[in-house]
Amino acid sequence: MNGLTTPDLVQMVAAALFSVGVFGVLSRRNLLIVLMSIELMLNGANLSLVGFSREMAHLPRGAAEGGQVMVLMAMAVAAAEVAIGLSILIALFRHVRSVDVDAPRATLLRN
Amino acid sequence: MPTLLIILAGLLVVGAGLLTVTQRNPVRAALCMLVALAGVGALMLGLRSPFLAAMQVLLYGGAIMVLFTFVIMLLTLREDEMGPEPSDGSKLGAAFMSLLTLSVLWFGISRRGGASYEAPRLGEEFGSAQHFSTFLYTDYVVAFELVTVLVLAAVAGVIVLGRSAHRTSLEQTKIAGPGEEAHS
Amino acid sequence: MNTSMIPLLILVPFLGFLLNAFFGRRLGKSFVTCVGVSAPLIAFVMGAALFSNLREIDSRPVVQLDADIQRRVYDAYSGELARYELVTVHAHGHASQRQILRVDLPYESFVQDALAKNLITQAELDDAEHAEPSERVIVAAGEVAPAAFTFTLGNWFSVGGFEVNFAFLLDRISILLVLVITGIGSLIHIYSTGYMGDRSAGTFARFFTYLNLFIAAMLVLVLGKDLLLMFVGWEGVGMCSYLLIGFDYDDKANAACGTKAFVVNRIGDLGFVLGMLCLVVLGRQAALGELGDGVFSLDVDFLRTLVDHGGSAAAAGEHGHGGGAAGMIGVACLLLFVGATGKSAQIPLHIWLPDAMAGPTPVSALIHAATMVTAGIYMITRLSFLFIDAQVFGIPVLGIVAVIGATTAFCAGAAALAQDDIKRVLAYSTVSQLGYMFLGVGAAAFGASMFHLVTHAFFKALLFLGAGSVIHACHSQSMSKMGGLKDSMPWTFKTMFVGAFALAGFPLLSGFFSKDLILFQVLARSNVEGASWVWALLYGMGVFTAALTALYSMRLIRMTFYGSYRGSGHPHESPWVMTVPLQVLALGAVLASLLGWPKFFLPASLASWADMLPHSLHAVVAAGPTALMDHDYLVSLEVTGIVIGAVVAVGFCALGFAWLWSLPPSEIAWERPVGWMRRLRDFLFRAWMYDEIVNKRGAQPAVKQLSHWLWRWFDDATLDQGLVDGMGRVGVELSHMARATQTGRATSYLRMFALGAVVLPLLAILATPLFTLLTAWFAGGGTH
Repeated sequence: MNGLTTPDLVQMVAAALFSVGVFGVLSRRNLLIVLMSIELMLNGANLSLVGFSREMAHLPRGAAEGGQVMVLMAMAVAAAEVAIGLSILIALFRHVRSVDVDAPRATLLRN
Repeated sequence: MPTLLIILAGLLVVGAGLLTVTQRNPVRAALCMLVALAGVGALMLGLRSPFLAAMQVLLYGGAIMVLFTFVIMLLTLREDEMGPEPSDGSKLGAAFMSLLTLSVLWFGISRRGGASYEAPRLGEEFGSAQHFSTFLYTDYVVAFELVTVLVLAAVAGVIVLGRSAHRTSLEQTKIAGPGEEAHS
Repeated sequence: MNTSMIPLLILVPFLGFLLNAFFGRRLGKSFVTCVGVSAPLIAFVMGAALFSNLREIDSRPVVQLDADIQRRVYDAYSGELARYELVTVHAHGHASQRQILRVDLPYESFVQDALAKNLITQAELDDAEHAEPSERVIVAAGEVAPAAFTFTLGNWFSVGGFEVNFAFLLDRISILLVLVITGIGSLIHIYSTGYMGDRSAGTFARFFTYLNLFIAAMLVLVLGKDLLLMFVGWEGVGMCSYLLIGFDYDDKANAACGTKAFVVNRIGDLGFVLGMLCLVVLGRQAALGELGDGVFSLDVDFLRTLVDHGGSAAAAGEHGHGGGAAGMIGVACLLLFVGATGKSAQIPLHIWLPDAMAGPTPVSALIHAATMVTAGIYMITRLSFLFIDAQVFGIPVLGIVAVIGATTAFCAGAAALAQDDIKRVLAYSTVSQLGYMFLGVGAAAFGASMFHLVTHAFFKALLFLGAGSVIHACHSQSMSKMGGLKDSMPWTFKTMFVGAFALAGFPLLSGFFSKDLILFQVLARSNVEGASWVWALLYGMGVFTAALTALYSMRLIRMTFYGSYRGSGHPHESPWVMTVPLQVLALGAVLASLLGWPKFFLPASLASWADMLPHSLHAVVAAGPTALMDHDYLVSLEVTGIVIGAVVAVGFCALGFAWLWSLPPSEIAWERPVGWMRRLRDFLFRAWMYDEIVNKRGAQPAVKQLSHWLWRWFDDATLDQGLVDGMGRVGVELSHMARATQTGRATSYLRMFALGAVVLPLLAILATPLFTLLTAWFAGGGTH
């Protein structure tokens, strides 16, 4: 594999997942899909953390576990974020009858 | 974990992810995302983190996916409510940006060297629920408590958003000024 | 002696200034009198105490030891406490350069230490202390070195190795000035209580506020060890001078005179600043190069090492660096001299001093005769080690100083002959005498110049205060409105008579010895190789000016005190607060000569009194080329000079008497001259038309043109439209651009966010290789 080790491969999968998420966030106008893309980005980061944690698994106490705890925290934050994000989405939809991020009436950030 | 399995799982994850962000139909996108999340969970299992893999399936595959599908069903979006298809230009720009991101990350990964997976210090114990929780409730208990506060705040936020969206629409509300009695 | 008295010395008049400034008006005249007069008096007492201690150190024994004992001592204390120095040693009337070992310890502690360390045995010590002075090398335990107190209050600022400290230096030069400033200053303060007595309480308080501030600033100037600290005092006295010249600012003319003094002084001060800048550049070079430690300053000690370093580098060979440093020192000295011409009213910046007479007369006496205007001479004397070998394009800077000094002395002396205003006579006389001092400094006769500075402070302060007393009585400054005051103002007459003769250089009075010491040094200089005809010419000008001095002094006395009274009212003697200072100063004008009687004038038993003041400075100031001349020849020259001086002074005083007293006052006042006499009078009255030429032909049109140009191009086009409006326009344009990014569309924000998320890690990754690449490129470019 061109001198690539297994850990590097895992990291690259994580990076690819993250980049896919970036692509989704930037290209899509449907707020639902944008939120999903953000989830993908978060998953990429999580995967990366788990990979690093695995790399340190042979080290003394406390070296590897931090990464795993971090992932759990990220999951909790992601859950909260999705809950809030979706309720914002519903509120927005009630208001403008669209989930288009760039919908003419949805540009409430202006001014 | 054999390299081949990682490659397969990786391809599955990335492919499902790509399908997620390109699907027009939100239900399909959600289903593709489910596949991607499951793939990530499989990778986590392979990386000796069984507890996290379980959490991944429970939290993402369960809670978050349910939320998404619930919202999709609640809205039952019509075609015109989903907004227009993104233009080719913006797709190209997004692709460029994401490739740039990928290359930067790739550069960083390829520059580090000599990483390898060695046998964990605790053997099979590593990553188990017991091992994980001893850390979560000792070293990281403060962070854990703070996250509970965050979740609490999210709950409160969701309630507020839901209520205000239901009761008061910006067009219908007339706010009573000072000295004016609100007749209702 | 506690050296912390040095800053206290400055603090006392400064406290007086603060008290008078804040409480003077409210607490009334008696309070102001008490505070204002006691401040310089206390400072004088403190200065005298410091002076006595300075003398005590001076008189400690000099021990002379063999070379091998010296070597032992040097090895034992090497580096910090002991070093070899070249000094000029005066033995048997001969001056010669000798190498000494200087140990920075008090004598007793050095002896104890040396005995304890077996560097020297008791027998050797006894031998050394009783031995005849030999021609061998000398060990001096901190004694041959000039006695000096230094005190560092703290750090002012330090920027990249450039360190400026609040450091004060009290050595024999500065103590001399301190005593003059506080001593004569006290007398003038006392006098002022009478002179300003009829003013309102507020004005009275303001006057003493300024005077006390002036004393404080002048002390800072004199005591500052760092050139920059000295400059603080330099500017401080300039400001006080400005405030006091325009003291009666109700009259616009007075305010204009103050402004003139201020502006002319700024020109000089620019020179001073540029000179300091040159020295800073030079110091930085040396500190980063061969001097080594990277720390540099404008401290006098540092400048001394700088000169030694530059000199040795130049002597080491045609190493271009040393030559550059020497040239830079020359430029710096020339620029500092420009500063001196401004402050000390020398050609071409002398025009402000006659106009400075608009201030009250005590101010003229204190600032514009005795103290501030001598700051330039003091500064050059303080930096004599810097000036002594300084050259610009092969011309010695001191030669330029001497030429300027002699020219000024002559021109101002001639102008003094034609004035009618009594204070203007004295003002031109002051310019002329300052010219003498610069002539002396230029001839490297620093001691003689300082001597003349002291004697001049006495008799010129006396003359000014006497003139003030006369003006106080006659309510006029015009001499043609005076006359016959001999009987109505006996004390003023007697004291001014003494002062005028001292100024004229009448034998045995103070002006005689000091002026002739300068002229003798110039004469001796004309016997040294190199440009001797210039020095001979300068000597001739000096002698001629001495004749002019005698004439205008006599004219002043004749016009003011003899004949019949031509003014209005009945003049009467001033109160005792004004006459007592006059009497003290008159006594000083006579006795100050004792500070410098020449040796051949004294019996052998009093030989130690000879040339006391100039001699005491020998160790502090640099030695000129005349110091190494044959002693007997020098004595013969000195006798010649003294005789010529005495003949000229007595002759022209007598001539003045015979001639002036035979003329009616109207002719002495040049009221009815005819033909060329009239034109000569006008010419001299207007001081060689210098002001007119400057204003009509030179300065004013040029300044007008320049200021017009500056207004149009610099202020209007560059500053207003370019910078001020441009700044606004750039802001508007930038915000137009920034507004385009503020779309309110979530997607565009997301894009920017993504861009930042990419760019930042990119930078983090690329920073190190880019940096290495750049440094490698620059390093490569440097070596090519």
